Amino acid sequence: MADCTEYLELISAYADGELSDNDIRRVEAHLRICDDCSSFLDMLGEISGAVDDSFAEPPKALIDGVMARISGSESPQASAKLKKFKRVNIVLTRVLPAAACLAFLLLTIPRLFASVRKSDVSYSMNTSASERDAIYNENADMGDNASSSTSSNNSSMDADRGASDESMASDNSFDNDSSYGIIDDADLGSGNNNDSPYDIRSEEGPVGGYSSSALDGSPDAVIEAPMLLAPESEPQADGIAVDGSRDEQLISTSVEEQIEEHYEQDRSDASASPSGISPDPNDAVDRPEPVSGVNAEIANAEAGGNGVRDGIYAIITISGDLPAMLAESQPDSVSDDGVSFFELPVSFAKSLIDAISGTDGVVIDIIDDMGTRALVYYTP
Amino acid sequence: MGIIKRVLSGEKEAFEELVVHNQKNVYNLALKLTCNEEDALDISQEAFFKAYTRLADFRGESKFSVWMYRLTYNLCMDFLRKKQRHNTVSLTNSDSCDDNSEIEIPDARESPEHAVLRRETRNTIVESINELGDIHREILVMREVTGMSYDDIAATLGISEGTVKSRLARARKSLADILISKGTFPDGFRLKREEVEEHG
Repeated sequence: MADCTEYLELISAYADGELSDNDIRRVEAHLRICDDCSSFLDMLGEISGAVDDSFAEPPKALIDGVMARISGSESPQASAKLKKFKRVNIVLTRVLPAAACLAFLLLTIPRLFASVRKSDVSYSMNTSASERDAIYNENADMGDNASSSTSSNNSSMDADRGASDESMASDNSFDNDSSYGIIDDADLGSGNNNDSPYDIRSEEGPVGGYSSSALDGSPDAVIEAPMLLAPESEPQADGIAVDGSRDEQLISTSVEEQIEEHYEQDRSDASASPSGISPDPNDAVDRPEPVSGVNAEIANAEAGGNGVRDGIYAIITISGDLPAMLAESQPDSVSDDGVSFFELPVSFAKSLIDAISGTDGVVIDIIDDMGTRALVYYTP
Repeated sequence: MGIIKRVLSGEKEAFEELVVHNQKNVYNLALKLTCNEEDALDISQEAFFKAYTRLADFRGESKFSVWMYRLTYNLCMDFLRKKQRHNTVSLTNSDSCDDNSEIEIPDARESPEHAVLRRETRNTIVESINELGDIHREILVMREVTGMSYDDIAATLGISEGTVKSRLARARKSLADILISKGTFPDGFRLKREEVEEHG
């Protein structure tokens, strides 16, 4: 009876037609001798039948509404161009000015402190560089916590990141845990009758398990392309806001000429232009891989590329207090000017946006509501 | 790929064929996840409209239907997340999910008594699906409503195929436990076997 624990998962996959030939033979051999597992298979058939029977006919308003919206909208090709326009625009109107302001401040503030130091702290111009740094750091610790807070945050992030990873690992182990307990009569009912239509203990029973039409792949499939759904094969559909109106707010006419220049170059490079990162389905649960650096997107735009990479859901710029949710993450990189960069899975980013939306010092730009990643620039 | 090429070349009306072919599964996926007909209609329309505007991004390496299911699922999750934030209710806590009045089991071969019993059993099954935890309910509905492969479900949910397999099995075991605790399944089995004996 203890063997039934491992068969539970196999029987479920058997019912879905997702087993290899070897596993099918193994399951069928077990089902011939195990009434409880046969009853479980019967249950799965009942469940599928119940779901099929509960299917509702879509109202006529569905197709009417869709076609009405489409008839009054841009063509898909035009929409794709608009999307690129928004991406370039967001870099030109939001990210670049923010970066410029940040750079100005970071260049100016140390000089101000340096002038204060000269009057308040007397030290010889012959003091060595390391000694000067030590004096500066001492002053900075007392007066300006910008750099020290970043490093301390990083330390806590390291610790919390470990805890976060551990919790995710335990979650996965939960899902992969096959110990459902022993299946006995109390668990599965007393079904010992061999006359079930799903019973395969007889030799002429169905091979591959029952499947309703709804379960045999996709009956409504129009495109019969091979099922190659590699994670990077299609743009992920993550993060689509029901209300897409936020996108429209991002359009500005103040930089049209610059954008048109980008467009011209973009069009000429279109065939050779790499599309950027590929969405990875595991990103929704795994921490993101480090990327090249804090100004990667800006540099890309400055180089006349596509602006923000494909697949970027949003750019979030934060200044001031580090949101609690981010305190549990380690930045993917920290620039020389102290800006922490995070690249986040869209699911995490959405939760973050929910938490910090409307907060002072937070600018959220939704770039592509089908993107799978979000970029966060945090300035302490 | 012909239909999509036609749409991309400017023939907007061709998109209607894609809607016709996919609307039933898309609508029912939204309906099972939101438990509300109006919300399901809105989300389905939004999903198709998004698909239309993003059609240039679809490269035909997966089935269009699977792409649509992903769109629909993500819209549902966004919707439910917003709803939960505003109403502080469970993702599954919706009265309309308990309304199974639409379930009909037309089968002329069945006696009226058997038809009633079978309908009750299946009503209970659908109700019990809504009693599952969010994670189990979500994956079970996705599989049962759309028939998506484990590979496609894994890509949609961002989990491994092995996790899909184990999570589905766990969801089904949980559902079986609920049904057994309600006394549904032993009765259902006896009913079914009696039918088989009578008709067989």
